[in-house]
Parts: sequence; C-alpha cells; structure tokens
Amino acid sequence: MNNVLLDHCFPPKEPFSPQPRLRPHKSVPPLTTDEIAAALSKCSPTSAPAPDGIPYSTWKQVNKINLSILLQILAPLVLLGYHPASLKSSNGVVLDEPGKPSYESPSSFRIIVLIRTFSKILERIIAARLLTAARLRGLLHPNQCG
Amino acid sequence: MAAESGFALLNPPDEYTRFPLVGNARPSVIDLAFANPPLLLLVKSWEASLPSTRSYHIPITITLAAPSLNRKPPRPRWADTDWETLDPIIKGFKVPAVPSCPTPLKLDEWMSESLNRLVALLKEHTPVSRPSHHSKPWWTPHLTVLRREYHKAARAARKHDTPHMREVAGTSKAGYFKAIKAAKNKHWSSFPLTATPQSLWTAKRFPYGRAQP
Repeated sequence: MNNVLLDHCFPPKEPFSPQPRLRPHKSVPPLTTDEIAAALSKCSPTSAPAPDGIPYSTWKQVNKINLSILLQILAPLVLLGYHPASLKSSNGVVLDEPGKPSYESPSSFRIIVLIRTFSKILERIIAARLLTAARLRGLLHPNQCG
Repeated sequence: MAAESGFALLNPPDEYTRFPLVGNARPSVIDLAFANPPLLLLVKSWEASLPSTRSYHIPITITLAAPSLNRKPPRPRWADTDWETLDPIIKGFKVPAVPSCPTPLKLDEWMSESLNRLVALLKEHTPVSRPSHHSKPWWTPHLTVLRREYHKAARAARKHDTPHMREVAGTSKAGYFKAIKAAKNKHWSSFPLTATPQSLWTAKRFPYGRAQP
C-alpha cells in the first residue's frame, strides 16, 4: 500500500539533466536582511518542522544574533535561481479522507508533506517577491484572497 | 495450504537446507520456515551461512528486526537551546565560500555543508529530550563511571571472596551511593533557581506524581 500511495501522489519524474553552470540572473535584485526578517516574522513558532526538526524560532534567534548567516546562505540561491535538492527532503503523513466509501484506493488518502523550515523560509522570500511583482503589474484580481 | 492460511515461506528459492553425508542422496529443501503476517513484517533475513554442525541439516539464522529495538535518536529540545553560550559563536560563524563556478551539484554540496555546520553547532548547545520517563535528570556521566566500578568490584568480591575484595567492594558501593545522594541534592537544590514557567509542571509532579494515563 505504501508504494501504491507513493506512486499515486508522487508519480516518477523524468530524469533531471542538470545545467552545466548556473548563471546569476541580472534582473534579480540582491536579497536583503529585511526580506529575511519579513519572511521569518510570518512563520509560526508552533509550525510542525520536518525532517530535521528545527523550528522557526531557532532560525529567528540565529538571525537575531547574526544577520549575515541566513543572508549569506540564501542570497546565492535567490540570485542563481536554484532550490537545492537537500532542502527538498520531507516527511509525509498519510491521512485518510473522511466519508469515503472504500479505503482500498489511494485517492481515499491524502499526504501532508512536512518540509524543512529552512526551505520554507526560502520559499516565503520568493513568494513575497512574486506577490510584489504581480501587484505592480496588476496581475492579481482585486478580490484575490490567499 | 500454508499460503491459504496466511503464512509466507521465508526460505529463498533453490537454497538447500539438508545435505546427506552418506550415500548418494542429493541435497534437498525440507527445513521450511513460515511466518504469519504480523511476524512477516519483522523478518529481516533468512541465512544459511553458519558452519556445518556435522548434521544433515544446516543451521539457519532468521533475523527479526523488532520495532522496539529501532529506537529513534533523542530529539533536541530546541526551546532550551543555550543561546547565551551560542551568542559569541554564532556571531563568529563563517559561512563557507560559494563555489566560484556554481553548478547544481556544487551548490547542493555547498548548501549541505553550510547548513550541516550551522545545525551541528546549534545541536551542540541544545539539550536532547530524555529517552524515557524513567531516566533521571540528576544523573551525571561521573555516576556512570562509579556504577561500573561498583558492579565490577562487587562481581570480583563474589568471585574471590577475600576480606580485601569485600572491603574494596564495600568502599566502592559506599562511594557510589554517596555520589548519587550528592548528585540528587545538587540537582534538586538548584531546581528552584533555574525553574521556568514551563517547569511548573515538573514541580507539580513532585508532590502529586505523574498522572495516570
């Protein structure tokens, strides 16, 4: 059943052919400490961390003590437009959807994937940038929510 | 019939288990091992690699992986990280240089190295959760050494019952229990000084005990 669920929820992908060299995007502005602080301020301290188990509160404290650590690690990733494979490891929690007539099919289950908090900080930074760009260009509907 | 009853055969195919030492009889497979579904989940391996016992039947090792034995490593208590000690260390932390010719592979390695260094530093100053409710918060590594010495001396005294050995065992025992008392005293006397609002519940357990599940 585990393999059936995995194949259903995470179908195998085409093998990824890595680029020979990553080039910095010239149009991408450099990452700032304010962006990191803004991303961290929205992170819940009680959010479930996985798989390394490090909560947001730890990263907040690290950033409070030394602003340059997270900046030095995240800035090259933003500039080069690369999300490291090591940040994509996750823990999956399988939950059964209530009210299903049968639980023989994988579609009766839902997997909640918990990824590393450090990865989610990077994602929040990129999401904030995308949101700003979309607002500036009027791509969002006025009634857009969420 | 075994399969119909839910049993699974553990023997690998074409693996002989009986080698007749006399005559021209051929080796055969007559020693079959079955597991029911709950046990099958725990079966790790079936091996016939042990030396012969000069019997027709070769010894077979079936290894079970009991889930209770695969304990998870203790979880760091991130809420109790010693930030005071970490403060100067974090301030002086240097992130490794970004690869000059970044490729996805190199960037992955750089990222892993940078994060692993930082996380190792944080874990070094973060206490881990107690492995069980029975572990003692006042226990120290020194007590472990004393306990080993005490048991060693007690074993030696039982084996060679001489006045000298008994005296050594007695001294060792007295030292061990005295050290336990001192460690308990030291820990619990300093407990109110280091108590936090969260440790209120720990303090509550002293007079009332742990709530029954």
